[in-house]
Amino acid sequence: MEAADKPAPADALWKHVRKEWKLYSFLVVPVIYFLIFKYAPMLGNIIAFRKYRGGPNIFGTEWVGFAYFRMFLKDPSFWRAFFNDLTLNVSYLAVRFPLTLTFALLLNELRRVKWKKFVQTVSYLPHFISMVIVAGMVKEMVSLTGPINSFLAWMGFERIPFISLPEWFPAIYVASGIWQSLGWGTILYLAAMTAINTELYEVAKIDGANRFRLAWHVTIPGILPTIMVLLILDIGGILGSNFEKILLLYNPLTYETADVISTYVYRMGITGGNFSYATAVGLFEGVIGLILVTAANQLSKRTTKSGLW
Amino acid sequence: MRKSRSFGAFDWINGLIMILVVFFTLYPFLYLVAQSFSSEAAIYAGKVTIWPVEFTAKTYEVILSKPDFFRYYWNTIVYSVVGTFIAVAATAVMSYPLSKDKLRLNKFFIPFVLFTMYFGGGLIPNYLLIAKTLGMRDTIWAIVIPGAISAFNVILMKTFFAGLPSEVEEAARVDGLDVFGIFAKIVLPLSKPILATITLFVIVGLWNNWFGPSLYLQSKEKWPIALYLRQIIDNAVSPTEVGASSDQAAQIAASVKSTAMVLTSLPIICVYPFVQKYFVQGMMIGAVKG
Amino acid sequence: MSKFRRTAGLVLTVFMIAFMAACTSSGNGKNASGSSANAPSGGAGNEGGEAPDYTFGVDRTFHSNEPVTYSMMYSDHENYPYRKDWRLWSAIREKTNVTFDLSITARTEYENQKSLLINSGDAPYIIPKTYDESAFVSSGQIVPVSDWVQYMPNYMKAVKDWGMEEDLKAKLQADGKYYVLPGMWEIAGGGYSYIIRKDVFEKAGVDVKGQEANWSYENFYEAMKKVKAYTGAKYVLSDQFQGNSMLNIAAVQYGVTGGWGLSNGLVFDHGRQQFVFADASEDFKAYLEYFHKLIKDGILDPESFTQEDDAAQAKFFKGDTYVISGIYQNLADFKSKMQDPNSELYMIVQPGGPKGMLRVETSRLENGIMISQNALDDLGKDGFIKMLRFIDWLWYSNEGQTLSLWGVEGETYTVDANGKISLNPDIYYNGLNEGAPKQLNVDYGFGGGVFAYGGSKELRMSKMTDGEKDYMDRILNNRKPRKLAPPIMATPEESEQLNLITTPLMDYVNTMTLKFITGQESLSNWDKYVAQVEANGSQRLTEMANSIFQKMKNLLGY
Repeated sequence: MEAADKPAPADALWKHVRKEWKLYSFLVVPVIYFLIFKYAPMLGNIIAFRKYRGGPNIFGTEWVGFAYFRMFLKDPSFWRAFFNDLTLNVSYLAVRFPLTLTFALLLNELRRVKWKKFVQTVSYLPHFISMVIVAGMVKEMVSLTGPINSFLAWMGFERIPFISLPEWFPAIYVASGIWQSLGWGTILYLAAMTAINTELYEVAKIDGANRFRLAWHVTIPGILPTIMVLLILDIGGILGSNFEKILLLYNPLTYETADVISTYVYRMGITGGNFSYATAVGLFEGVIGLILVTAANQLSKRTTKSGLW
Repeated sequence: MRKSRSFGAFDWINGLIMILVVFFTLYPFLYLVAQSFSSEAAIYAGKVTIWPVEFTAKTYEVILSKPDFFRYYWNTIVYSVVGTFIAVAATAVMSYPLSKDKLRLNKFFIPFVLFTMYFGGGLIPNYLLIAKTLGMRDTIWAIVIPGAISAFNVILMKTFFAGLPSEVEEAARVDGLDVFGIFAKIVLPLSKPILATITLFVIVGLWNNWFGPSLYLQSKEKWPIALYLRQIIDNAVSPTEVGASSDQAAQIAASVKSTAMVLTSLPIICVYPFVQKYFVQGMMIGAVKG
Repeated sequence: MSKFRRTAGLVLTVFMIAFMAACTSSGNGKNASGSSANAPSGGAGNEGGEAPDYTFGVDRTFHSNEPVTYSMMYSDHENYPYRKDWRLWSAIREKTNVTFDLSITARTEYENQKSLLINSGDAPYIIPKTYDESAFVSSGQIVPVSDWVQYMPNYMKAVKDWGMEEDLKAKLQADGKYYVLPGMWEIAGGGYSYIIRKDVFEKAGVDVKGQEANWSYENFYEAMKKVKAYTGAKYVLSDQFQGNSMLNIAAVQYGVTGGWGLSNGLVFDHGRQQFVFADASEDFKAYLEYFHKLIKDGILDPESFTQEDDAAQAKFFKGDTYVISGIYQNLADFKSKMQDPNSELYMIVQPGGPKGMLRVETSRLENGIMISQNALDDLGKDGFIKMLRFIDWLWYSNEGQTLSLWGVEGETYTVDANGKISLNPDIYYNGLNEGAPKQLNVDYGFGGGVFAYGGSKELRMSKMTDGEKDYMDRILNNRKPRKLAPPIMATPEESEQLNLITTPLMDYVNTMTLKFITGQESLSNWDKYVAQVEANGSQRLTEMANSIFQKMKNLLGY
């Protein structure tokens, strides 16, 4: 893109920096910030391989190699957390994805602009509510005297202590996630829909297509790239459960289905003080996440020609 | 828009679905409000559904009569304001040079920023760095600094800057402004929408933040309201601490959670409808990129 | 992608170099502070040679000539929130010239913060309210305080006069040292038990006073059944503390662990001289069956394990239930809240069980104080000993203990000719002076959990009401003392191992305990449970504990 005939590249670069030093000077503080707050903790992950025992050296005191990794790979609780992560996310994705898409399509069909705006405004709201409040609400809603149980009782069923039954945790996790994200998740779809050429609709209408056909043959193909990108991204994040929500909602009775890797790291590390062990588990999760995102991105680029980088 | 079609069965069903969505989205809020104004007996009997039963505002009186709640609220306001200021300033400063294609080193810096979206130090390394090495434990800095710049916000703002017409900046240069002058006098004023968006993103994050404070802030007097609320929800706050005398204790115990939740989410719910469009706008800019 | 990798590689390299530099420089800093800590100890290794700049000793008030400040963690209790202007602080300063640099943490976050501060090497000098120090031994951040207690005259005197040597063995770690200065009572307390509606029990035909001495849990069940039949109540017992107190005190009588005392599930078999994993034994099954029976027969409210304490108490106050767990101090408070003015509350002695009629509280040790290595590093040996002598005075001298508990003579309490302490009538504390306008802990800071937890028999009795004394007597007369288990004196490596097994294993046991009891899991799946416990490493845990015990038993005198 730039002049191809550079002299010695180092010299040219130096000249370039001197010429643009004012612009580059903007970056000094932010880059230092990134080094300290983003990259230093990455290096700090080294205590997964080095024993950390207090003291001033946050990079640990002695090499232990993969000892901590071998330990957790043998730990049934780790695997339970690993599979819980998968289960929770896959079920969440399986429910959320079609629902969000459907909701976006339905919103798109609303005629009155004011009504549409109103529905959108309301449905985005939960996205901005603190997780603490969301968790508190969930607990109130499903409590034995809460509205869901009152409804069950009114229907003649037994009241169910949802929050302490492991078999209910995935449902609670998914349902509260839908409540929070249904509206917000439609934004990108709606943005993509406005970009669809209206002529396509006109042509299809002349062909006598009704609204279902329009949606099926015009709208969905029009937003397909967006759908693909979002889907692939979601698959990339399949191990990243909502740590805060689970931490706020789970309890020893529901660990069986609710404990995920990040909460396990929290309990082992912060509560239990096993810094190195917890870091090893966290690093493992991080690396798998990175691999998944990279793979998903490659896939996205290949199939939809758009990716994250 | 496709107009000129009659309001058919589909529209009725669709309208009904929308009403249901609106109802289910709002219902938890309504329930909390109802519970917070209901009597203890009605709450424990599970009689509250959507309206207050045996109306009482006792819990509000008790909570609002003690300074504690306001102190935690005030902490949240301080963290949000200071944190937002730092975050928006830093994000803008960083994004501006990154939006300039002519900077050859951006080829290095942009991946440098992007990488942090996909990988990071874990919980423990972050804790050690912030609390120990940097000595930010139990200070406001542990709350407002570590999350100040996020790669996502930088990308949003950079995308916006890149979309500004270059002629304006050219003209300013001809008028003798240097880079700093252009940034301060031309670019920033033109960027109010994106600045508003980022401000709101950041402020919501800070307002709702409780996990960071729970790790880094030891002294209760420094807690933000979200963390205090968490304690209330986890039953770690006794009615007497909230300020109840013993004859009020049962009533307070029954509705303190819902009351605190209502009081904490109130500002967001009140301000939100007016600023909602900025959030959406931010997502749209992000969408163009993604 | 390759471009990306190259840049990332570059960044990391640059950064590594920068950090190596940072590490070495911080390493130097450490050395510097280390040598400065060693210098005084090397140079001034002359205890008693030079006159110290403070007074100390048995029956002598610690007083520093120069004002000194010691950093300390402080667990802020929500029932008496920290106040800067408490008389407690000024009273300590007046007597000793010591002020605290407090690191105040809400009680509910205290354990997490303590773990974080210690494990990251930033702990304040004094770390009180420590219930389990073993997890921190391996961190190297805690001073093996048993090496230093020789400098603490009041502590030594209490150990000798009250015969605490055996009790202290429970605190020994692998190196034969202990790492915590426990609170010490001359006599053990009564501990948690059940508060019952005596009036209702008697109306239902239960002779409480006549029978409680010989009650086993089975008899207690029969009694509660009578109450249920008589009252027609939905549940007789709806517990607070998420059932943790009930599970804990019953576990003692069944020879297992549970609730607050769940720990690592190991119980010491004194006959065979070895540890066994109790929470998968037939004893444990019997224990689960017992509680499951309570649930099945509608005696125990299944919500006991999940509900808030307030909700449990509300049911009891309203008269919906007739039994609740508690400690004696709850009694006065509860009495004032009962809706039925004629209700009569009574604290029964803990029922016995298959293992006999045992005393639940046998330990005379309380939670205690750990001392951070930072104190030794920063203060040097002499300064460190000075701090220990201050601790010795405040927590172990009668004068210090009285100050922490009752405050300042003449201001908050008076002493009569016989040495009997009476709290001023306008101050409420612990069931004493019901209805008084001020509270000893809330308004003055005295009698709080961080300072006031140890002392002589007289001091312990001085804060008891007559009812509580009676409760103590009933326990002492009707329940047999039991032998304590020896400590597992693990090396840091071993305790790390043990910790890694224990955390998930006991998570599982805890979960399943509640499921079996509430009936979510049928006891016919018992064998599956036992197998899973073994898969989670109970066997390994037991073997490790026993091999450690074999190594160390001579040291413990077995």
